[in-house]
Amino acid sequence: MMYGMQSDSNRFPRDGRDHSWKPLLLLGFLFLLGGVGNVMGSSHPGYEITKKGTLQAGDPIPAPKGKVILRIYGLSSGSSKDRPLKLDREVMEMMGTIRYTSKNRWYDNPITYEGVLGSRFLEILEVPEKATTMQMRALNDYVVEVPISDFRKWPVMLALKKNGAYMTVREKGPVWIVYPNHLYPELGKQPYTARWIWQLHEISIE
Amino acid sequence: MSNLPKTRIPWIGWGISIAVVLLLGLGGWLGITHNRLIDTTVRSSVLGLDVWDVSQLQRQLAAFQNEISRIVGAGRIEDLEFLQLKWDLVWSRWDNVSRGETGKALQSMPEVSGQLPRVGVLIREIDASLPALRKNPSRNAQAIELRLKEAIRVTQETYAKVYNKAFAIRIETDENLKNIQLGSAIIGIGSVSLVGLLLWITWRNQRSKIRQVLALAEEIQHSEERFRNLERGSIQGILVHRDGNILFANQAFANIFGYATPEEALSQHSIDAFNAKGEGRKLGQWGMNEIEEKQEPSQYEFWGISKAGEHIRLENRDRVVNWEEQPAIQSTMVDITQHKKTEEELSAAKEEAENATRIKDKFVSLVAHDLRAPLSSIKLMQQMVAEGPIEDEGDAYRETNQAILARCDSMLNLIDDLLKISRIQTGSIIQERRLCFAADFFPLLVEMKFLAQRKDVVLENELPENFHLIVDVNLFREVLQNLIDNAIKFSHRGGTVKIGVLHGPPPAIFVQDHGAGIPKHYLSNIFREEIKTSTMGTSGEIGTGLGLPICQDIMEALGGRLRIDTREGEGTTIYAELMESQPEVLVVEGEGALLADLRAILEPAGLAVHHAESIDAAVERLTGSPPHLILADLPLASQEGYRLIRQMRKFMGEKEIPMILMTENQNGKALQEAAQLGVGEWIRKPFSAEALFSKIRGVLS
Repeated sequence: MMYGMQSDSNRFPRDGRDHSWKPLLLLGFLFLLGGVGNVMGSSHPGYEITKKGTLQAGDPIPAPKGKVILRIYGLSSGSSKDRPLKLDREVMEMMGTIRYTSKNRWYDNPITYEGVLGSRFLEILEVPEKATTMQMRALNDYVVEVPISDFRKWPVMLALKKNGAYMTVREKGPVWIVYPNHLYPELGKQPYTARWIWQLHEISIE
Repeated sequence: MSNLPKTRIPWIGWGISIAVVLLLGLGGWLGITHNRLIDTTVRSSVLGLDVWDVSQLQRQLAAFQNEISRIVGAGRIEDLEFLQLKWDLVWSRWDNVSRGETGKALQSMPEVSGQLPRVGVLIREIDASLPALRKNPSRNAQAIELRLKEAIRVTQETYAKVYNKAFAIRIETDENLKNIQLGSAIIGIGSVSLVGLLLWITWRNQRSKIRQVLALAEEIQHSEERFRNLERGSIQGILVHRDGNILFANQAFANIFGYATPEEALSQHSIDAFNAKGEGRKLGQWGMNEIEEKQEPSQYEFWGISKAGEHIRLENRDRVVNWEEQPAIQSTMVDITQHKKTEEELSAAKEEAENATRIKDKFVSLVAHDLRAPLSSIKLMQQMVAEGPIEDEGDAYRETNQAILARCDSMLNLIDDLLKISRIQTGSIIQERRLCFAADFFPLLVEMKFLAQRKDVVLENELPENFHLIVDVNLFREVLQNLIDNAIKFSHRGGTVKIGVLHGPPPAIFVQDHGAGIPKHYLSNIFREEIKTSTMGTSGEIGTGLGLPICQDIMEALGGRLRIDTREGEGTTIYAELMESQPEVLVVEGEGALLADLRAILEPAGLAVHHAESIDAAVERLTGSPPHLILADLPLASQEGYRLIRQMRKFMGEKEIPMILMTENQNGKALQEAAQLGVGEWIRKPFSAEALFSKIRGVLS
């Protein structure tokens, strides 16, 4: 399935246009075929694209110009255990951004999140197929292991904005892993709540 | 069906009900426990997060305290930005504790709800004083640390309480889990046991029920066989019907009504089809009313009608049966037509016998009276002769004697008539019917003519001599004599008695007079010998009163009867009607040359002519229906001719068939031989019709 998806996505011409939604659609279709997921037959991905990404899979990741908000360890190219791939907010947004609104247990009102789609993030960083886990670390030293399959199964978001504004540390920024519990309510409950890591600043791919 | 064994279904019903109630109860209990488990698990889980958040708040407050004392102590004001980050983390954690589900959960806990706002106040105070750290780090740090300590203490207390609560819930959860495990085990074992028990009970019941059903089935089969045997072997016709519609019929029923199969009988539209009057429904309704009224089967006889339209007398018994869950009438019937007929015949015979006895008694008394009257007068006269010295021995004596003789005669006549009646009625008169002609009675008529002349009555004979009859000549002569005697007796002096022929049908010889006629009131009894209707003749002739009854008896024995046409004062005609019959003549002639001529002579006279072309054919004919007369054209004096004659004699046996030989032979010797063999008459060819009739009359008389 992984292979199929990759090869399918490779078929799209690299004409500079954003085709990022196409493999997602395909993914959705394959999910439908595989019977995975509780929302069946929904052609709507459950999110809204707010910015089409300029970066494509295989493109070199630009060096950060602003404040580094995320460090990625364990990537085969451009990073090593000691030298992480550093991403600032601008580069993150070059990957393209999406938006959806959901309600979670930490706030009383629904919140509109905006950020990078997890699967897109994996694709652009060319996370190897054999990789299974992302160990995520927060500023407060909270550590959680997130299966990479979560990013491929659901439109998980690396949220940057909350209700239209970039999130500060006080507001669980700069990056908050948000699960689409508006589409899949079980993603708002244990064990997934533990994976809603906020104040994220390091990812180790294993 | 009342002998059906009782099933044990109620017992099973109870078992199932109890099992279901128990299972439902256990299931309900398990459900409640399960819900409680889920509830406590959820609460435990939620509280787990709350506990986590509170512990993290405590931890981060402590971490911030460490950082602030380290940075401020070392005077590294440049790291204040880092400190701010640490504070942001604390703030963010406080955000978690004070907002959302954790905030709500903690506020709902009375143990901690009062303490948390205090922490909030402290954190906001610390947050407000953080920017002042840059101006006067050490002094401000002290104030912050004091507040931090207080915040950490309160948070610790809160944590302990929340943790204890979470732990208690956890224990409860564990207990619920244990209960639910125990409950499940009980339900599992219980269900299995109950289901097993139920299965066992059901099997046991079913087994006994199956046995009962099998026994019942067998019984039903036997009963059906018995019924079938009864129904098939029965001579009683069985018909089941409702509202006139036929529901069932058995073979015997079909047999009685002449149908091949019961199905054919069933195909009739209604039971009306089996009733001679077409009133089957009406009768059925009547039967039904009878049953309802008397509360027992109704029994009656009726006339049925067969398929062929014959009337059948049936003895029927109706009773109400259950046919396909609905009441219907079962009619059981027996054909008593024959029985009825026999019964009626017997009854008629009995009545006849009784009547005959009664008549005999009456007759005996009448005859006794008739005999007694002349006998007593004879006795009286004889007494006179015996006792009294008869003065005049001449005339008186003779007159007395004549009177005695006259009475003796009348008594003899009476006794003769009685004997005749007796002979005719007992069948001891052997009547010999044969062909004869009116001419045979001419001698009698001549005799009677003299009798008539003594009374100045003219006897007119209008009988054609060739009028033929097949009668016993002697008996018929008696009848004729009687009739003519009566006619003369009741004719006035100078009257005429006419004897003639009616060609019929039926052919009759009549005797007509113009005398007194018969009074009407006599007519009905005139042929009844037990009621003697004797009237004195016009010249005082005395009759026995038995003449006409005797004649009627004779005529009936001959297959005919007497018919009277009379008018009082104008005369009487009595017809002796004869059985209609055509005399048959067999012509034996090889060549057939004479046949046409013979037909031309004989057939107009009412004779049927048959032809035999050979002797063998003639013999064959004789064995079948013998003719009244044979006319044979045979070469006499040949062996062939004699052979025929012998054979004919042989076949005729006792019964002599008159034969006339038609021959050209004039040899007297040959004719003599033929006469010896029984040939009555011969005629020489060629002959005239008159000559032939003359010969026929001759041979017949």
